[in-house]
Amino acid sequence: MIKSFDELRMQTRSRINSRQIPRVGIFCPEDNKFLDAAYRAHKDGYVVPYLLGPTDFIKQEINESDIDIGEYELIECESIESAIKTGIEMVDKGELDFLMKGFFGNHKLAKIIRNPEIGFAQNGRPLSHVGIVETSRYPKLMYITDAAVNSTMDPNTLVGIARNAAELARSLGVETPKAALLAAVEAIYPQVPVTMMEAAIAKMSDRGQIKGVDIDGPLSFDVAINKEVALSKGITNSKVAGETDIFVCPNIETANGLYKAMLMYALAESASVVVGGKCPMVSNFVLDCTECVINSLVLGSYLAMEE
Amino acid sequence: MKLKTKNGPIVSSDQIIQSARELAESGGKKMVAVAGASDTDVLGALSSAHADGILDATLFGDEAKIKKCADDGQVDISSFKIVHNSDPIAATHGAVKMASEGKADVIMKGFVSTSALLKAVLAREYDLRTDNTVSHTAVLDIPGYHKLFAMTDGGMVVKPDVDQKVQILENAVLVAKALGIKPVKVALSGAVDDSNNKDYHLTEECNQVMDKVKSRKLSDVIMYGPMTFDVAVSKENARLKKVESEVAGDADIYLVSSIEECNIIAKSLINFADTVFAGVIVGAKVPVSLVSRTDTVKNKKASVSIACLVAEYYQKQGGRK
Repeated sequence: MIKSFDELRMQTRSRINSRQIPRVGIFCPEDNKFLDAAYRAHKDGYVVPYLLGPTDFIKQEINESDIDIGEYELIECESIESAIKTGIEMVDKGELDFLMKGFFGNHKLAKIIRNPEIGFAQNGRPLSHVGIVETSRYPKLMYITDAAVNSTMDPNTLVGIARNAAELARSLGVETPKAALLAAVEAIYPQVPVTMMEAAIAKMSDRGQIKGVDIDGPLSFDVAINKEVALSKGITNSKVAGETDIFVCPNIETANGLYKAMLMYALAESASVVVGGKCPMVSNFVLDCTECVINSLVLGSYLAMEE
Repeated sequence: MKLKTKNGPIVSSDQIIQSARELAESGGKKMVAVAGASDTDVLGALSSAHADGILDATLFGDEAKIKKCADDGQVDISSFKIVHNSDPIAATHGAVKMASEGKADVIMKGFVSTSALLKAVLAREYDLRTDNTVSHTAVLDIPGYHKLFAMTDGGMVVKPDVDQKVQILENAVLVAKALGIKPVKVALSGAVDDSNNKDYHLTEECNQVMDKVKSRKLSDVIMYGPMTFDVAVSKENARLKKVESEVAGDADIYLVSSIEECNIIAKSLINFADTVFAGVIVGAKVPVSLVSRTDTVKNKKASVSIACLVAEYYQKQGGRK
């Protein structure tokens, strides 16, 4: 089970040993942070970058930085949408192994990739965003979902994003991930719709309807992370409370705020990815530092080499 | 450490406690009426605040049980008056009545459910209702943020509609003003930062809330929404995202859209970022204080202190309408 980004880098290097280095298509990276991250991830042997977007802008940004990425392939795309489209086509043709969002908002990305015509989603699965957070305050990686793709949550979407995050956690060696459906309280109230929805999904999990993950909810954040608090609140037979891997939030605002609170104030590092599509699409937030963007590239590379 | 400038706003939880103490020393000591005082945590919080000279308290409830709770927790309650009533609901009404008669400044939740307490507070006979809904304001002292950061509502209103959001915002603004904050900068939460983004499901609602607040002519309030958490607390993030607003990086209040959002984000900061919070229920003519078992000692003291400061602010304004 991978518990840190250092470990993820080690595991990725050992996967690469016997294979070709994964090729990543980066959409519109006309910002120093993304170019720098691509350069360093390439130099360390994790990825081979392809830059998709308005090449004039990208070249200008390259010239203004000290980064020597002259050898990377630049693919002219006039807009964000056409860059994404081209990237997905190249994945279909086997010319790229995974994709990355560059210097534009997650909201824009979500709107484009959720359109069925772009051909990124897979039948019957939602696309969803997972922010993986490492902080010294918690003994394992936190998988926070969904901070960027699904704005409103119905039961079907909530099950789908929990499944997607579980699959990601399993890829990183968490055998049976523990997913907490977060709420303000543990008690289930008919007048609080989130608690009813989450309780129903937890019941699905109890009955074995959702494979490969243990799901419990509603759970408050402190119960999800702390067994003692859970016991003091009478949550005694939960497989998840106090040991949560996956923090499933009841709406996008909560996941977004939680991820950002961790990054801003809990000395956390992160990697971010959109899952559920035909290949991993790593996708950072504006506040993410260069190191976080590199983590995301390493994560994408690791996932792209999955058997 | 966050330093308070002379006559400037309160910027930390220590200063909330310090200001309540100074208020008491200068003759404005508040009386807290406790509804159902047989609760060790509540007695502990009151006793330690009393020892600091912050407040006086009157304990309503079953005298034998109250004394047992005090003994169990080794809490000194000798300076508090006990008004015996073995029926918890009757004891609750006793505390509310004391506030309604102007003999108590703050009502505090003891061993009684929040809903039973609020039912008594809002009963017409006591004339403590206002036109606003009651809501919970959590004032967070986040190490690393240069001022206090109030989040609301993580405790009372599950999924506020536009009118409730306006009222919750107004309630929180009064708390901010009680802390000396002026102007009060309010960010309306969202997953995007663009008030023209029609694709985002909360944009329209944010605009409606801001329009309604403007029509209520609240003084000294600056608003922006939707705004992400990272922009609300960081000018650098605002610059990167090209958000131009006085609120960005300097928010006093973060008004959220669901009880879950507030509760989960605040708890992540409390558990993982050493944040101390002071919480108070506002919306009635007197503030209602509550502490929970999982609160730390400092957090409990800050919560009773902020209730005293809010009570003082209402009284200086000639009472909350």
